Amino acid sequence: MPVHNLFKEHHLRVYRYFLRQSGTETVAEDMTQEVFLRALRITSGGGQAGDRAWLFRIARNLWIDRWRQMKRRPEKTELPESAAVHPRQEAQMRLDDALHQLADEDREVFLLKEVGGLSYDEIAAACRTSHASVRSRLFRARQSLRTYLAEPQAQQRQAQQRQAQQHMGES
Amino acid sequence: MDERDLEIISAFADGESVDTGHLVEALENPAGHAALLDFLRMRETVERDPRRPSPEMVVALSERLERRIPWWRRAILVPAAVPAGLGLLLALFLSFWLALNASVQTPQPLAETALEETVAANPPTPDRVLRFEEGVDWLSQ
Repeated sequence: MPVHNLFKEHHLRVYRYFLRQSGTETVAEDMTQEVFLRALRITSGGGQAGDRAWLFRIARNLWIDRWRQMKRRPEKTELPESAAVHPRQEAQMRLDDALHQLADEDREVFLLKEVGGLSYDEIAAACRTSHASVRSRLFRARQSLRTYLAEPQAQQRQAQQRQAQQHMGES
Repeated sequence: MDERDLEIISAFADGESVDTGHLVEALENPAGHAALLDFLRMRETVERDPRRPSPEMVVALSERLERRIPWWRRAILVPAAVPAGLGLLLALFLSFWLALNASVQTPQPLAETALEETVAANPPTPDRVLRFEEGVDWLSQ
């Protein structure tokens, strides 16, 4: 499939993969561009364009390179100041926070599965690991995410219960 | 409920083949049931991500990807570009060489040469005679 068709079909997945990894929209956009331009260079040089799994292998390798650079010289990211957050966005932000609590390899596998939509075998090939390892890493990631996400949810439920009790008491 | 039960539920949520007996047993447990629902909720959150790249970036990149020359067309263009590049190099070399040679020859000053030629061809007509006398203007000793 030509690269521009791959772009039309998968650019949103690739962008979201980088957004979940980096937490920064500008980085996610830059990295998305880099993935497709690299894919184009490969095919322009006579290489065969691949499928979604091929694209995510490129994305993963680029992210690893970027991660190493960031470790050497950390980038300062400016957070928006007290912007109004939509409840749906809040859920995304909570998930992002929880994802960053995970071990790198667990987060990687989770994102390749849930955002990239790759199969266990494709993830195993991209991460150079076994099918069984992908299965156990995914489970570990999900279990950790459940724990991290349950904490604020429990707090939120308690707050809602308190508000409801206060409301009943007033009326 | 142990970790193995949860791992089976996680794999089942991904459509992987699992031991059905073990899965039924795991899902009969309320904790297993809750885990499956949580895994599916997580997927729903990921899929409902409203964030998108800027339309400017999408349009610019899309155009760039479609405009790119395919490798087979470049394979034709490259052999044609090689002689053109060599010709350009040759022209540059020649102009450099000519400029170098021209600067080595030092021409005589134009004003002096012209004056000498004019004087030799048309000597001025005498308008006075100078006479030197011995003992006045010069001495023989």
